[in-house]
Amino acid sequence: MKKWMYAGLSVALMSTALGTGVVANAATTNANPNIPLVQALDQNPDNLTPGMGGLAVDNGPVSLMNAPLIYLNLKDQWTGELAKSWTSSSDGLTYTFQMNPKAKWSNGQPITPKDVVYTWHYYTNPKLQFAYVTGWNYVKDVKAIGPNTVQFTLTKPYAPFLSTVASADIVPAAVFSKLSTSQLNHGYYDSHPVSSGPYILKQWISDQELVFVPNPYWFGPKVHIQKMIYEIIPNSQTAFNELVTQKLTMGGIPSEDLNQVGSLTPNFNVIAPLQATYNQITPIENGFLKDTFVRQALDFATPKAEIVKYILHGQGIVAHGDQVPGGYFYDPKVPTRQYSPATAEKILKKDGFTPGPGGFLYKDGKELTAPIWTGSTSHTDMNIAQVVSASWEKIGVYAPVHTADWSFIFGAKGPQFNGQPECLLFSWGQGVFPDDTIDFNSKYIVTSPTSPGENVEHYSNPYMDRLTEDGTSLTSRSARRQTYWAIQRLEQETLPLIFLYWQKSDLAVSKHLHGYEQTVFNSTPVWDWWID
Amino acid sequence: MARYVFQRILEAIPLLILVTVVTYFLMNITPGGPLAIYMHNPKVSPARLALLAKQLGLNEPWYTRYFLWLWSLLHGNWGYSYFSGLPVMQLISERLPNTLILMGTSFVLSFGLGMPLGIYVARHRYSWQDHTLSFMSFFAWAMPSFFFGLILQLIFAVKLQWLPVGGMWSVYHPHSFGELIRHLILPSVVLGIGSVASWSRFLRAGILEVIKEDFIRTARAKGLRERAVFVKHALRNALLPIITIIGLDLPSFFGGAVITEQIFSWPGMGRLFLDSLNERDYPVQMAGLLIGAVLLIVGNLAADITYGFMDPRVNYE
Repeated sequence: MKKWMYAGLSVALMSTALGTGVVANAATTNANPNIPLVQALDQNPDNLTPGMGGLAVDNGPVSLMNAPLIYLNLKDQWTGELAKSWTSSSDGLTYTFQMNPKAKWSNGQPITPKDVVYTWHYYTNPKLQFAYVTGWNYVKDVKAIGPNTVQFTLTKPYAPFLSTVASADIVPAAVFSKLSTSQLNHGYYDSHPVSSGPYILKQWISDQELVFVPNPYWFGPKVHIQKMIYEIIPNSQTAFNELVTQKLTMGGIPSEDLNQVGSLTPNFNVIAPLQATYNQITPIENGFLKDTFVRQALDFATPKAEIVKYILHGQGIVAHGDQVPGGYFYDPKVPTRQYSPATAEKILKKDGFTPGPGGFLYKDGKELTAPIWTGSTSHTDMNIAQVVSASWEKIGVYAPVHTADWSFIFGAKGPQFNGQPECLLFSWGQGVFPDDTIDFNSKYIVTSPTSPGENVEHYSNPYMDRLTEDGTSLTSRSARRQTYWAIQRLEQETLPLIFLYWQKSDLAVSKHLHGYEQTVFNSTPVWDWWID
Repeated sequence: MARYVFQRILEAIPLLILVTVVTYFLMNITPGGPLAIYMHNPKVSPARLALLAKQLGLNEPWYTRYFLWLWSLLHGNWGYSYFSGLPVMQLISERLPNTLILMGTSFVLSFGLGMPLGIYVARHRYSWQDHTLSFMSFFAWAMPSFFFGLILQLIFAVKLQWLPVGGMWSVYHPHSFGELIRHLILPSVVLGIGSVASWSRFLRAGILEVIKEDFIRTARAKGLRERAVFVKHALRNALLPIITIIGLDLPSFFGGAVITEQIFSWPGMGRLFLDSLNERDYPVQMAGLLIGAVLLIVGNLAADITYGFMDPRVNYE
């Protein structure tokens, strides 16, 4: 679970964006193609077969080799890659893609609509061991309706179609059709991959390195770096030391090394892009935590700005909702609460709570308790939990801190299912095209460790149910934005979660690397990069 | 001797089966599970999770899965990783040589330094050299390997830049023996220094114990030269406890050193098993535990057999 939580961060740091060349090529005469670009992965990728990898670290290497129909550019706009253009029907049930006739696989064979049709059969094959194949269950049919045209028909309107199905990796039908399901499930393709993207895999030494070289049949803009290397470095301190010694071209800076950034600045530019990851407290709506006024009081009593300043050393911004600040779906006018213990006390007093034994608040003879649980592996989360606990106890809420392994916290015997008012402190990711259904829709209230969805808080609100359903079915982007603005206002009013902050992550980029830019969800395409 | 070895092997079989049953059971009652990383993940539908559980056989009771695993094992199939899908033996065979190189180097270092050091301090007991080396031994012994590793990395790789920070090879140079040696120095020193300290202390204590024995006095009384007394009688007897310690260390030669491999990015067995523990990759976990148990038994047996050669009083017939 934790790995997924941080997937957004890893993808942002590791991924090499793919695209069509809309962004101008930035190569200059100073480019030295012989210098490799070296990045670090904290774990060996588990699988490079499209759709089969379950780890966040798989994304970077896989994206170098695979070109989807469309991709998201630096301005968060969909841009064609294997597809030159596309249209959708007004009822949102049909999407038609015109494919680039120049597109070829790395074995020299053309990439055709037949490959797309085969890809549909591939991702819906029940014998293959996929984890991430979101959205393909909405696809009713895929047809090649011309030499370069392919058409998807959906069972019902599905707003995230472009971000899930149309941006999935396409597989080579001629190669995959010769492999058995057993071969595909057991990593056979990983040693014989065929690329549609700008690079091909030259060498993969397990737990050591992956080396990529340019794909000779790549149909897009020419790449300027002749060798892309991923080194597997499991320890973040070691990765930082590799940066200091300039063995890595770019890499993340662990928070514990922020005071040593000065040792990097002669050779690196340090950027701190916002991550699509927010930290929050989930109040499980049992007992008094079911009361919106109590949650509002807790929100007022949480010193978010101080947490960002003193615990994160400024590496974050205060969160007031679950949409990435500055993103298309973010509502900048959503009302916010500033830290005010006095206001929190007034709300609780008005709600009928009175001081009792131990200095804590009571109502109907029951103590107001909100124990805070967090993972035992994150020092930052543990520190935040202690600060929040102290702040809440100042207004009379008994809030002891408990730490445990995440598998226990989210397990059958964990605090989720004990029927008590509990709070969970952890980070969660948000997509560029959000789907809040699983977070706040009452259909997704988690009742067991295998329940679908993420409504851990047991939040139930008919208006939110309607909004979240609209959010996945409305095909108009602007209409969806209005829906998500309404969701953010409802979040602030009713507080299914107490939002703490959006994370920033320091990234060191060699001064010799040019053309690299990073936003929340993406970076410039790999062919825009060059090294002098 | 052959009968004794055969008997010990027979005795080991039920022990190994018991070890696998207990570990398989414990693994399965641990919170989480192989699919825990996908739980509540919006990108993984409940139907997909159910399908994955079925495909991986996770819906079966743990004892059914255990017997299936054991049956496969008896047919030479160690299973497949739940995550990469690769055969477990492939995962192990890719990393085992790296672990053997690292552990072998650290063993040579430990033995090559620990033994002479133990002999030296025993022969100069209570001298300033003994006190100084004893202090350094305790210091090295007590030093946590992660801390020691990072300190060495900082000094020799970051500040002085004499040695690489980590990895087995450099991505900037072709693979060569010299490159391998450069990459081996720091991790093998970190791994070996503790053994140098402990083995030298054990050997020192053993020699000082043996040197007081009657047979040493007898050997001297017979007119044997001091060197012969020390090497043939004192040292040979003092080595006996060291053999046991080395025998018990054998599984670590296979299992690698998790912390050192992490810090120095060494692509060995320790990292494989740590990842498998984190991911609840049962087939890989079981392979590691079973091989570790076998090596522990083999190490003990090897130590007992070596005892027979070293000590004529020990007779297994």
